[in-house]
Amino acid sequence: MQFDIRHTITANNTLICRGEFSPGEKVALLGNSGAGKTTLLRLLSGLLPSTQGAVTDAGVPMGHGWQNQVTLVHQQPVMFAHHTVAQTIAYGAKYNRVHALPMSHWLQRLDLEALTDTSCAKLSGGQAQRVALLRALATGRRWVLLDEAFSALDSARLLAACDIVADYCRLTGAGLVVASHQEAPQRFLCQSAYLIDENVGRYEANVFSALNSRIEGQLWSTLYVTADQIEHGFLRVCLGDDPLYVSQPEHWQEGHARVSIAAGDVSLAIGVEHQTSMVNRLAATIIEIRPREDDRMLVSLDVGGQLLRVLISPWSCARLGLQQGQAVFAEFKVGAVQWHGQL
Amino acid sequence: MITSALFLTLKLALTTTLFLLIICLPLASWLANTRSWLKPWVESVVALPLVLPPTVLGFYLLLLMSPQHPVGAWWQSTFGQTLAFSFWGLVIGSMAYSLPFVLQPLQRTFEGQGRQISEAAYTLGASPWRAFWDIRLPLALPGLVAATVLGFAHTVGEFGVVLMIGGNIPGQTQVLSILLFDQVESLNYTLAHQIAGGLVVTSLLTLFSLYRWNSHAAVRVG
Repeated sequence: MQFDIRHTITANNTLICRGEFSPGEKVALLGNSGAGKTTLLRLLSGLLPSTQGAVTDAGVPMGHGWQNQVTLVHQQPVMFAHHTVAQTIAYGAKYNRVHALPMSHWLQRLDLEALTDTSCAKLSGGQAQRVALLRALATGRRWVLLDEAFSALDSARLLAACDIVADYCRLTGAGLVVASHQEAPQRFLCQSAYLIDENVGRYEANVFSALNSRIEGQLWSTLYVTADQIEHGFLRVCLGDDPLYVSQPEHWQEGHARVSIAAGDVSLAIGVEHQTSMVNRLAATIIEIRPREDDRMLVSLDVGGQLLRVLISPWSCARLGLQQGQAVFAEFKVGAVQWHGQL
Repeated sequence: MITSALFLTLKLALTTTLFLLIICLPLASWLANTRSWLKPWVESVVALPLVLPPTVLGFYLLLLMSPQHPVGAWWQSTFGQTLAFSFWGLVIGSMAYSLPFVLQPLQRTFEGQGRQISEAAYTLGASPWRAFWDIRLPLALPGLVAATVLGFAHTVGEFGVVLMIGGNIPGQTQVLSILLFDQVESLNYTLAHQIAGGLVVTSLLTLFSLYRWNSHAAVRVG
């Protein structure tokens, strides 16, 4: 999907977005409220014609909403009051002649099984949101745009919904654009990011660096690891050869996974020490030490080829005599590691 | 006499309502969504019958239907009879007169749906045509019922336009309201009472069932 848009919203308010998402790419759409995320999603889905510029998909100009391969889940779930849940999902599948999808399994995973004969007019906000999501997935379209589509879901349902969206993308090869004020769905589902700031959009290849840099005062690092096995009630993941322990997530499987760590939660040590409590300990090399405006030192570490950022006080920095290229150990508690899903 | 007038009235009201629905569904749907500069003009013209005396409408329609006018002449050459003082002349007059009563409830209902209903249907692959028949029209059912009932009842109740362009020909243009006028003029109060009373009761029952049903359907009418 390529787009090069100058869309005039009001006389002195023009949204300028240019970019390209490759087929099957999963993109987090970031920006403050009112930045134009919903407008961009409406433009990309062909519901809103741009005042200037164009959107193309697979080299073909993006047609009207009903002609293209993009489906959008609205911020406020739109329910057709004359449908039952089963009817409305069947309506979503009506024009899908390509993909056979496990809709009944997904209904079950989202606790909607018992509601299939319920009128869509009688659903609660959270139920409507889950139905709207499944109805959109039933279309089998090549791009799924989610505009705050998880906002009314509790954490367990959110996780299940994210899993289903990930399943959908695996089965159909579809791409994803997720706007969400919660970060969890974006961290679970997305690879890259598109940021809209002061009406101008820009692409960021790594969703985590985009998300991490948005958390004020807290710098986060995301590490790509391999989930291994349960040990002492914790999940052991591997970063290269080093083991790392995380609180056991509700769902996990062996294989690639992502975890994030806040820079303030890591401490640095030199030399081997014996730990009494369950502490993660990674061998690292200092890439750079930089003082920050808030009187703390930002230390960038290389851990198995990945970047881990650590904030320490100048006093610790001086006491340990840290310098660039030095070998150290990064230590942090199990609870400091956030599980950010598997793709 | 009263049977043929009753039959004619029902036939006129049914035909008029049917044709009005065919015209008003697309028109109401367009008015509900458009931002065109034409919208207030169309709305004003359509609402004219609400404020004009029916005789004004009847007068212009009569001129339009006369064989001296191109429209009336075309009709006469095509169908072999004048449009004025015929059943189809009455249908056209009634349609002009009852138009706002069918259009407005439909327009309000479509406006209440907002653009998101259509948009959601589009994102599922439904064309505007399919979205209208599959989603918007079924959702507009309360407004559709209100429009049908009001259009029908209002056509049954018209007098001025019918008298101007239809005259008073038994079996052809003599509807109940005209027959009532006729009977009062000739001091035949017994028949006049039957017609007037009948109209009051049926109209009241019709409106009552509409408002009663509507309070469940939660859509405002009128």
